[in-house]
Amino acid sequence: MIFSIKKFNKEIVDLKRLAQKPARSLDPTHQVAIKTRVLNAILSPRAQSTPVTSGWHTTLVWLRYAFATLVSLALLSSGVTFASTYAKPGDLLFPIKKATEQGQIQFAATEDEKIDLQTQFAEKRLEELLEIQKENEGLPSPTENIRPQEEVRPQVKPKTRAEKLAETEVSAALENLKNLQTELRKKGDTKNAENVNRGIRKLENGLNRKNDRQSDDVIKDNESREDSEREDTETDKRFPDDSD
Amino acid sequence: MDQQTQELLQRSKNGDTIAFGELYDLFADKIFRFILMKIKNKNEAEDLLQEIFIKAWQSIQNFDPARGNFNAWLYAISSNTINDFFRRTYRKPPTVELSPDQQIASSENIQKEYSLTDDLVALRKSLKKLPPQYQQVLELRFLEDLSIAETAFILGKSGVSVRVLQHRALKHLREIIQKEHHDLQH
Repeated sequence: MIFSIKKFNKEIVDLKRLAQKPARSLDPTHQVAIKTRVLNAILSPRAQSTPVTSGWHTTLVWLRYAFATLVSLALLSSGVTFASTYAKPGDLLFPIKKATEQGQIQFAATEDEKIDLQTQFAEKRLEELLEIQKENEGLPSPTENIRPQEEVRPQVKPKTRAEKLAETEVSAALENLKNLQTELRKKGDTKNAENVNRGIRKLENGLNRKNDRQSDDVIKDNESREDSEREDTETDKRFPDDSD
Repeated sequence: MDQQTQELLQRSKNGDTIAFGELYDLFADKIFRFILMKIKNKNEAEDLLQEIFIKAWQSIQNFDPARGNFNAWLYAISSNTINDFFRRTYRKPPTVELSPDQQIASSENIQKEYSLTDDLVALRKSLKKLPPQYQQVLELRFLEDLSIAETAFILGKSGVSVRVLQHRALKHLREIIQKEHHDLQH
């Protein structure tokens, strides 16, 4: 073949060796932080489109905002909005709930009210996550129907889709509050920055408590498994199998 | 494209952000290392990584698996974003002040960090001397281990063109290495 690269085998092998050298990998904590920022950006309705500057595009953007405002107003007055009040991440009405909240923030009379609402809605995200987690605990565990001899290792209930979604929402809300706090501090608005900080602490503590609870569950599961294994061994010793 | 990626991609196309988050988990490190080959500043590379995934989400609806796989598509977005970054940087040169704990991305540092043997350091230097197009095709094909089809998709060329290009690039690389070896001996 005319463009065969076999004769460059040495160069190719060396290039591949170069690739195998430990390159600077992405720091796991940075990877999570960037993921949160990406998800935060894509969950935010404003980030759905890239910024544009030309006249025609600006008009389109304004038209889009005007349309969104009208839709928000229409939704505010409809029963759907009321029904969505109790929606949680993963529910069909949850996006409507979020849109309504965005509308409320947009139409807040004062800057203080706007900040209060943002903090309040962020805390709501945490409450939803905790509720979903509680509901998840009530669901049958995937190992409950498995006979004891088949159960190889204890399993903590896997996160449901709604729980994962709720976690993403909390992370995004937390990131939003942190950005808001930075902005307020830059402006010198220490009073509101402190209020937002309280919200941040509440969210962080809530997330820590949730994670601690999950770790406790794993420990408890391990302990109960060890106990039952110990009991089984003792029973085997006391009543050896005489089938042989 | 493996089944997991395909499934996550389909869910992402339907607006599932969790699935997109999982795609991020699968590809973030790989793309980050690709960016870092071009841009030595870790912070800037992280910013670009974020930009790339936001762009990917914004245009995921336009992704057509028939035209190329997701991996190649993501590399194509990365390549364009890196080029945009360089255009922005050249238009407005950054005034970066380095603190003592920040490392300057010099070849000496790279050598120290990666503990490269002499021949690999020489190879890296030779690679940098190639014209950008040759450099890119070798990086994609042999450092990123992408197929001819994937490389063709990223570079916007046909498979035959990529074969021709990689052949010329390898030939040129060999000439540079031989010349440097010759210079060292005399």
